[in-house]
Amino acid sequence: MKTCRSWTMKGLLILIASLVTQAAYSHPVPYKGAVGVMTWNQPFMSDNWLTYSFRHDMAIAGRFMRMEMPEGDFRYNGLQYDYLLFRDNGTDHQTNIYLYGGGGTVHFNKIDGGAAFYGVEADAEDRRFFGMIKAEQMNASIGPDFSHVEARLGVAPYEAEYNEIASWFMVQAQWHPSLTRKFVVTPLARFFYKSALWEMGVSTDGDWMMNFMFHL
Amino acid sequence: MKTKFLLISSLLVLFSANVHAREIAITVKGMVCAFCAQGIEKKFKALKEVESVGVSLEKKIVKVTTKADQDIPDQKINEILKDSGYNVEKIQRDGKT
Repeated sequence: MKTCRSWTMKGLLILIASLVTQAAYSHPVPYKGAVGVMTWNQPFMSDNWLTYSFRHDMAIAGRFMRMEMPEGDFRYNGLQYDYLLFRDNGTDHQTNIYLYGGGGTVHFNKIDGGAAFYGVEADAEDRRFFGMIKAEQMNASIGPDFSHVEARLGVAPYEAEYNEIASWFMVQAQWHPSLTRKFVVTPLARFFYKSALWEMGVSTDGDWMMNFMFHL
Repeated sequence: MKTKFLLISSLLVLFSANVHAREIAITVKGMVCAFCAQGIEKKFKALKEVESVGVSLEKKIVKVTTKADQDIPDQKINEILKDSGYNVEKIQRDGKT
């Protein structure tokens, strides 16, 4: 009974965690009918999604993760559900709260298992400033659990128009105690043009970051 | 002769009024990010009534030009903006609310 409840909890946690991760970098539910490809990469972690927004407030995604833990590489492949819980469309700003969750398979030290995750993310932006915070939790049947808290602050040097390249300077702080890199602060540059978004950064400890997102 | 001229002129004016393209200016709340607003342009361009779409983040306006003698009902405009994740503040046709 205890094992069953533990598994249910783990599944729920993994579902939510996967959802949270996606939200942290960009809106996980862009618009109804949108198909998105996203890849976020650092030496100690890579996170990739193929998403489809079937409603303006809901999306489903396939998520593929690799995390470097002291005990070995941890890989997750599974599904993620994103839900836009709250949105405030102001005259000059937008505020969002997303919930996430998912589940799938994990591979750790040549052993296969299952995992579930859950998370929450909030962001607020206008054309000059951006702020985001998220928290996620993944629990797996094998290997260490994965907790992740992340925050971002950004400023745009100019207010880009719709058909111009938009530029942002941001600082990202990540805390994930089960990974080889537990606390990472990364100054980064974000650019987007039309349907493509890309980010480049180097952490204060020298870890590179390369992220890319595209809406089909 | 004068009557004929007036009649032809009137017909031309009436004809041109019926086939002119309509310009719809939609003021959108929350439209602060070009990357996120791509869906608006994409969805309007998919309509057969639409000739062109322009977006101004500065003015928070989406300008839709229809094909000759075409229009898009307010209900459809509201639906498109909702599906794109935004709210309509105001709709103006040919400069009129």
